[in-house]
Amino acid sequence: KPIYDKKATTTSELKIYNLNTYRGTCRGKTEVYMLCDKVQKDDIEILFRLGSWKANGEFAQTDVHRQVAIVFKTPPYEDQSVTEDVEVNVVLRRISDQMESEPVSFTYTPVCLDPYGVKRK
Amino acid sequence: NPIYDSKSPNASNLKISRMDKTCGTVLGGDEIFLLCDKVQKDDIEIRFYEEDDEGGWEAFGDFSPTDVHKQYAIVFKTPAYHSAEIERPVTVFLQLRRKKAGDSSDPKQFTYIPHLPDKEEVLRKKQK
Repeated sequence: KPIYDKKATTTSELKIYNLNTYRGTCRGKTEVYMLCDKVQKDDIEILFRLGSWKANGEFAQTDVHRQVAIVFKTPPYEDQSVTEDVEVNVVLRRISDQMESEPVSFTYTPVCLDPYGVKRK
Repeated sequence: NPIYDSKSPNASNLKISRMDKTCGTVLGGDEIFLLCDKVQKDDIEIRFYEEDDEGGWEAFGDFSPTDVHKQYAIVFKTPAYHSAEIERPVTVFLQLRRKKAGDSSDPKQFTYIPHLPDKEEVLRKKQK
């Protein structure tokens, strides 16, 4: 296993500490604040993934705050007509070497087919 | 107490960059993610305040040093407003303030929303 310099943002381990929300509608566009270990604003992406589906969180370099927080918008889920919550994985990925963080879970919720949540427990 | 010129860039480098919410219930307890310039986790407070002729009001955001992330973000809970009985939204200010030096950031606005038991009951049922 390679040895990484933990201090250099080009090779350091990636880590997600927390998100301000872990749920959003399957339409995407939910604004999320992520706190993380140091990242390079021009060499980082946020990946949403489930099985063969994947999509990127949307942000500009100016949304990366002091290397340790990223404000981004969730991508729409592949299926806009889900009737139940769908749990997907979110990881940070360094573009240059494709290194990834441990995943955190994010839940996509159905869009108002059941506004009073009677079917959802 | 020392007097700081808040307009001078050297007086304070405290700055609130972004917050994920700028409104919340009058009862307090809303969690907020605040992104800021460099702070020391054990020498920083988040002061909510209102200024008026009768002396005004202040209260402090609730967090511990471990809620300060890498010196550049703070996750805290809003304090309750001094009166839970408001009928319209009330806008107050908040600022970062160093406990020791007493210098502070420029303020941001925060709006307290009236507590409506009926509406909250509906929301609670909705979440079940």
